[in-house]
Amino acid sequence: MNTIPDGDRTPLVSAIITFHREGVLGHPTLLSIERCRQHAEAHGIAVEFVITLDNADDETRRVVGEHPALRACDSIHEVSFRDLSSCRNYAIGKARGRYIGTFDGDDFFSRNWITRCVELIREQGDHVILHPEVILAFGGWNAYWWQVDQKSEYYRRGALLTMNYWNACAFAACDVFKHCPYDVSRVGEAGFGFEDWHWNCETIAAGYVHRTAPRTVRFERRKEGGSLNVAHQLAGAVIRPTRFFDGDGSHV
Amino acid sequence: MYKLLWAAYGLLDRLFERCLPDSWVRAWRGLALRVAHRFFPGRLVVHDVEQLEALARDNHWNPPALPDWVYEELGALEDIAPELHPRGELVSSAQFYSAPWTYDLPGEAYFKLRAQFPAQLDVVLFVPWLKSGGADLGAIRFANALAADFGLRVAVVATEDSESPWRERLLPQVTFVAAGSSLVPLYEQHQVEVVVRLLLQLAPATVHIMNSRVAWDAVKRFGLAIRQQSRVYASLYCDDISERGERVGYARRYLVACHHLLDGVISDNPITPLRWCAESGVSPRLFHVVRFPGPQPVEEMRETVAGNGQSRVLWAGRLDRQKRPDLLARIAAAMPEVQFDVHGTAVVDDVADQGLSRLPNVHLHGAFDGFESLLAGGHAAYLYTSQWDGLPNVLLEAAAAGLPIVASDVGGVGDFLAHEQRVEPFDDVDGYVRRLHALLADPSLASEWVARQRARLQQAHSSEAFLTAVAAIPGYLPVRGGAQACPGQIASGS
Repeated sequence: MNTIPDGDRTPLVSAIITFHREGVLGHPTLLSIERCRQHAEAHGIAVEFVITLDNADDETRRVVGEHPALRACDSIHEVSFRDLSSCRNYAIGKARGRYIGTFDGDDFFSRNWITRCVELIREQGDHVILHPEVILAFGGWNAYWWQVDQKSEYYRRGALLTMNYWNACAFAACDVFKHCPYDVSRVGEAGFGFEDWHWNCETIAAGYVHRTAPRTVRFERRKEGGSLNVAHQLAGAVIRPTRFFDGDGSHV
Repeated sequence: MYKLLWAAYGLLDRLFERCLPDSWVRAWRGLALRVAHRFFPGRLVVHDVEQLEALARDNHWNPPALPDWVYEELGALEDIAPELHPRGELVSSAQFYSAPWTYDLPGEAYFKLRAQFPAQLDVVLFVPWLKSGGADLGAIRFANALAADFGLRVAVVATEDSESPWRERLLPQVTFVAAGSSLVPLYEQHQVEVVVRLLLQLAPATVHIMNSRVAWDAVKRFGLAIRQQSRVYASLYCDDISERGERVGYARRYLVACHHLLDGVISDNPITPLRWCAESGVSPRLFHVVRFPGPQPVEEMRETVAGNGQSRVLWAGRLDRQKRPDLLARIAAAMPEVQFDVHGTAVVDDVADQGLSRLPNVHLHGAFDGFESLLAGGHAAYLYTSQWDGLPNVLLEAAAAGLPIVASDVGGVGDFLAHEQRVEPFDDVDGYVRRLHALLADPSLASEWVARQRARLQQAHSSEAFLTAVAAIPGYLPVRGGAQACPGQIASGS
């Protein structure tokens, strides 16, 4: 359900932001993404927020619904998937931008994130999927690392069997997400999990290239009680079958 | 251990650098890197000799610091996320995380193995290896029957790093993949991940575990995901008994943990599963009996007395803890008038012959090649003294050869032999001696036992009975072309 009417201006970028029960943590997150939007606008890039509230609690609904960053062009969708992949796919279906960026409801980003991504895709082509160069995790775990660029010496196709190179935050042309939608994870019911890992594999198998956007950073909140990824690990989840692991691997 | 080896490497590296030519030093570093890759893949931060040398040049290697531009961003975030102050506690305590980004050994092992499978498979059987043994023979019979009699696309995967000479017994249309050499360099956790990925990508309708540890672990950890595409079965035959007397084996290790993830457990006899169910609470409905086919009986009765008039008893098997040659020695000592022909060799970790060689009425013949090679001696009986087993194939062979059998009442033996032929408890030496004496004294008793064994062999251990039992396992045979294979559809050549 749209709670805010669409504006007239067609956005170039749709920021897909998924909320669940983040409560007041959603407030600074939206402020952070708004900084990204303002930075992008200063470079001539119009951005819309496409927000999902998936079985959100009242506090999260209030924080998001009354947030000062929201504009007429943004949309909020109350959904009941109880699943991150379904939320993203739904929001992508509602997005109007030529480019899509996925954001979690409790993280922060460097101001230049959206701007740099648009610039890089324009330079390198629509086959590129971008991730922040640096991740700084904070909260339950304080650590930082550089993400792997698929074109760098650190990328090994075989490593994707046991680890996920890139986490939830991705930026690409909308067609990439429509060509490769996220697959639903039902850890408790089917034993499948790590939808981002699966999506990364599927997109590589489809010919897309995962690269990092230099001088961009994601500040990733790690919950004290463990993340969705940790929950998937504890539940004995594994990524779904993917074309990436078909054949002898010569296609990846 | 890692730190110790790393320190040892540092010492040796400095020494070699002073004493050896550059090419030798580089070769040494390459060797060290391969060793580290093999044993500590998760600890490696370098992946070639150049990077290792860079590390060696700077023994006080420090992890890279957060770049200045990240601190600038943190500063700019101050109004939004004050907890991320550039000099605050959270940021100051953040440590560089070095993941083994380039560790691709499991993945490359996976791709190498995946390339050995055809695109489509109906059944994948997991075995440790295919070599001499009852379980190995059983796996071969399953694979060949599924391929030839039910027309299914079958692969057999051997997961231990060991030779599989009996792979030659598989039909040509059965795919055999020797995965052990690819899996052995990997952590156990990664071995499991390779096997799970193979199963998820191959998506066979049926997965059948026949004594493969890594396949059991795959089901234990990821059974729910595997079952989204495949039905999962396991064969269990008997417990083993450790040197401490503990019951061990796949059933003990996995049955309780995995029973809810299995579509069925297949055993070669109905007796052992009942014991597991009684002890563990696992439902008997999970179990299905598939008796293995044995050689079918020969018509003529064999001579039961040797040329010198002395009665002879045949014993054949490994001279190991399970087969209890010590019991054989005590039985032979109690029957000095009878000659015991003993075929088989000791395994490495067991006492050789348990005093058998000192007994004048025991003839140790050593290794043998096939049961039929033992039948020229005109034996009066076949003696079996194992402490534990399923339903050993050797009993079927002895029955087919027309030898009356006296055997320990263990595992599934009771499913094949009558009560009067079985000795319980297994170490009741007098029980064996009494039965052998009775047999040797009464040819009509021998004829009666032989006839009964033959009837049981024909009734329960024919190829037809085996195929019917396989087809009767619920859901085991994949549906191809819209109809599930059933006994009536067994190919005429079966």
